[in-house]
Amino acid sequence: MLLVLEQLVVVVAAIKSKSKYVKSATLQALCLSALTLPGLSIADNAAGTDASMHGKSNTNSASETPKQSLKQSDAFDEIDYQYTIYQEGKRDTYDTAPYTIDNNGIMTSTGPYKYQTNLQPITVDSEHASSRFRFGDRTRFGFNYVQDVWSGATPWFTTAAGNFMIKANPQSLVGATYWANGAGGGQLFDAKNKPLTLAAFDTNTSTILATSPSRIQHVLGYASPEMRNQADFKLGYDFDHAALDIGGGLSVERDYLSQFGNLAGRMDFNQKRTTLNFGLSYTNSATHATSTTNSSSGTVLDPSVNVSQHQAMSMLPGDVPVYEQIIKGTREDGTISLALSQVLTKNSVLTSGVGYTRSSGYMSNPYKAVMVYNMDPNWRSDGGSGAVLPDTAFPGVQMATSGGPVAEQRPHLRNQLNWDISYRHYIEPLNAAGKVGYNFFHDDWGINAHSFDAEWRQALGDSWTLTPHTRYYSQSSASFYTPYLLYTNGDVSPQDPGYLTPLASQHFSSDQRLSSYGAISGGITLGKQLAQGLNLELGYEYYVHKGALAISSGTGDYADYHYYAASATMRVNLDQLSLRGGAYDNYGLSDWLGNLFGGNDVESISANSSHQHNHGLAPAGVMFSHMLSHAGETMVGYRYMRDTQSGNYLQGAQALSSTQLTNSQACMPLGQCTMLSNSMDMNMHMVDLMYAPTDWLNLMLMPQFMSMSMEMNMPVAMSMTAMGGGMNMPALRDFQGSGGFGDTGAYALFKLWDGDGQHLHLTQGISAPTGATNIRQSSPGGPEYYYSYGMQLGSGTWDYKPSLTYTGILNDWFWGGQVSGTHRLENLNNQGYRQGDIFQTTAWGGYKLTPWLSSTIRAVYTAQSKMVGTHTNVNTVAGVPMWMPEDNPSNYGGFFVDVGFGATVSMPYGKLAGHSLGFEWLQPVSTNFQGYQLDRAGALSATWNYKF
Amino acid sequence: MLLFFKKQQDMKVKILIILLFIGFFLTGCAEVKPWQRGNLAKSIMANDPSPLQSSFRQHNYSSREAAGATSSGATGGGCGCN
Repeated sequence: MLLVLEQLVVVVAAIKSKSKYVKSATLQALCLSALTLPGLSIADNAAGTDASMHGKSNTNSASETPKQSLKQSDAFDEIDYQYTIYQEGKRDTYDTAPYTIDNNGIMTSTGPYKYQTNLQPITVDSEHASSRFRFGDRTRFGFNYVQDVWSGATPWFTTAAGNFMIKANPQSLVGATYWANGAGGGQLFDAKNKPLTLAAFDTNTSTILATSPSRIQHVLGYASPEMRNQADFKLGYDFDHAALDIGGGLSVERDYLSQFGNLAGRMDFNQKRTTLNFGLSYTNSATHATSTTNSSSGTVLDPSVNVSQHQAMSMLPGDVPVYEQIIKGTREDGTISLALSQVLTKNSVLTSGVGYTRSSGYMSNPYKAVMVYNMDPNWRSDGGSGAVLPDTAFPGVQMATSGGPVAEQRPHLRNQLNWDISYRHYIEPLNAAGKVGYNFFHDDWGINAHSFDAEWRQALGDSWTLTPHTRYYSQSSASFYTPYLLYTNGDVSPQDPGYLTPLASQHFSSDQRLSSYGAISGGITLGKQLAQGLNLELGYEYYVHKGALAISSGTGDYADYHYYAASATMRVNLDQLSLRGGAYDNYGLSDWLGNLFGGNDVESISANSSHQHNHGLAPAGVMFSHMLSHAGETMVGYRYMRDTQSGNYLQGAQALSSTQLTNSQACMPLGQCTMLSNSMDMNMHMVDLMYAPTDWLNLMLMPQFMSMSMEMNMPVAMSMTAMGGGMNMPALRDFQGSGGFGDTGAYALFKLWDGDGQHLHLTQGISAPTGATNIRQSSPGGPEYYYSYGMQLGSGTWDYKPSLTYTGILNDWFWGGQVSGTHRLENLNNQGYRQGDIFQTTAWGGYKLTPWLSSTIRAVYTAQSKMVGTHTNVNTVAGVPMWMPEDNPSNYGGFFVDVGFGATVSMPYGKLAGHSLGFEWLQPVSTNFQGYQLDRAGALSATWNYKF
Repeated sequence: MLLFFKKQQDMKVKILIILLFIGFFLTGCAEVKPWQRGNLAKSIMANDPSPLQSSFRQHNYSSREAAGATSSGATGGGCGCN
């Protein structure tokens, strides 16, 4: 971004100087193109920059003509879209083997054994949209939006094997909760505080005969689906030999809010051979974490941490109150950074930077705990566990009498230093570039970290780039890192309320990120220029974290894990795309606006433009509404749909009060409803990729990303009735969120008839069940249950999706109709149910108000049949009746009529030619639900597509 | 006093080394004329040719490693996933 603007300035300067100094056109061309990039692309290495800052031009070489260079310098307006998946591998854990007792009463064990937990590991699905635009010659604006949806099991605290285990048969249960096996009482340790296991025990005399080394294990907590949204912006201004950027943004989660601002600058020296970057940034973050049970974050000891109690949901008069623990805290981070880039030779650049960060405030993780073993120095004589151990036989052996998790306590101040250096070199014979880098990190928590990375960027032909990379990272542990604590408080009994008080002023954490370990990662990025200005990048990386990979003594293998990360990125450079248009290349947005209002030769221009088509004149909410009419054409598009339900519950078409619902059959045969939803939102993001191999056939691929949320409540009257004696539900939440990759559609469109402004085509499609149907809620130590059908991300079945579309156009009027369906091709999905088939028919009419703006109105009739089967895992919380109408499969489907109002903007010419943008609002007119469902509140559709 | 002087001398040596280093940066390299920078202008020689890719990668590192804290911007909080 910096770079491109600089190019512009340089080019303008060079053109101005042309008459005086530059005589040869060839020389001028060389100068212009050569001046454009150097020095600047290296400029954005300062720690104060982020993705929105990393602008750059795609290609440029010394052989380009001045005209091309000028166009390249225009290449700033860009829209990028990225979809990423992060997936950790399943973790290993340990359990103690069952004891066997022989005829003499001697109990023996083979010691701990390792197994893989079936808990779903951390998965993160993210969408990242980024755009950069320029206003005038020197001002530019960038905007970023990120949405993450994640869930899965993550380390909660660390214990000796067997202290906590997964309920029942650990190897067969999915998503089970933990069972505290005596919570550490009776755990043996050697003189070096390493855990021991009983190898042989005489049950006649209660005497330990032999011990053997035990293992350390992570106790994993399972996180329900959570969502993070981040938006940030950057405003920049370019001077002749410098640039200044100011930016800010925020990241929002239910339990964490982060706001940040930054200032970055760049100065060029030595004809841009040297570039100095500096950055300042400030971040303010607030934690507001709710522990669904007291045990999930452990006892909070630190008096400076703001802990409050919040009465749990669904309290009944006369019950013993159950509370949730809310941890609040704020932290501040300030960073200052400085980086220098130097062009060394015509093929090499060296960059180096330093950064300092000061963090203060609440830096602990509210969901991480440390296992505290209570060590009674007189345990032999006290005989708490009934075991007797002769001193002489096992010197130095000690035993915990009890134990439990305590919230981690990190220092409230952290100073961090960072230094990095990187070198990159162009290897001319191979048309490749190599980059090597090193980074050193030091902080006053005792951590020193080194990372080495190398990257090889290989250009292949005109349009491909292949970039393998590798990285090694190693860190030492924080001084207060400990897998667990052995704790003694003199003669004070662990039952004494003040027993743990001396710990309150200490620092401790079992977070594996503060342990000593090493990591190796490697991956590959494949870049393909699909067309001028349109780039696709695919990336993959595999990462292994191991204690044994640390430069110096790492922690044990209990913390080892790995992940893979994959990404797909589409980059659309609007300026470069517009270069394809031919005659109207230089027709800018301002010209276009000028013509719009000046009423110049708009019609003649649009008529001549190669981008003028009558396609796409259907409402934004209609899918498969048009075909590409020429072989070889391609279209990319993005489609967004938001569907909202709120207001009253309806039975059929009749509104009900919550009291009426309580006495209804809405949740039968499960029971009486205990919870209701207030509102439900479903967001769908679809990427349209369309290609025409022939004039009569189009192929289309449509991956989609879903995110859903639901707000719930539990009317007291309802829960009293439903639960009889009354019940506390500390683990219930009043919201649900889910999201991630949805089902993927593949379609073929066949042209049946085309002529006289009218068109008919048939679409045959298959939807693959790539969306999850096992989304569930759980919390560390709490119960878990599967989300209702509507919160799952896909149908779980292969679906057949045919449609027949008719469109017509006459002068400024256009119209169309479509009949479409969804038929489930499987009897039941692997969760045991099948969504109802869908039939839809729609008709629309529209009018072109101007050559670029049209409006539409349409009617839609939709029918969806009943659901078949039942989600085998819905409502599996033992003994807790938590039923919502949405949990009942008979409350899905119905008959609906909607009216849609839409507008479509098509850019017929100019630099945005070929783009169209459509919106449509669907207003429910008639609703007749199957069973009991929350009323429909309308749907919004928005589409963008570009054909070339 | 002697010790203090020695320390000061160390300091001077350090400053001299740093100045030399900066001097090398600014002037020590062979001058690369603007028209010799065609290779440097290639996209594969950019500092970061795939900014979204690298920001994703960096986000993963910084949420999994202790040394990630100096990158600016928000990484989010919550339960150990970021």
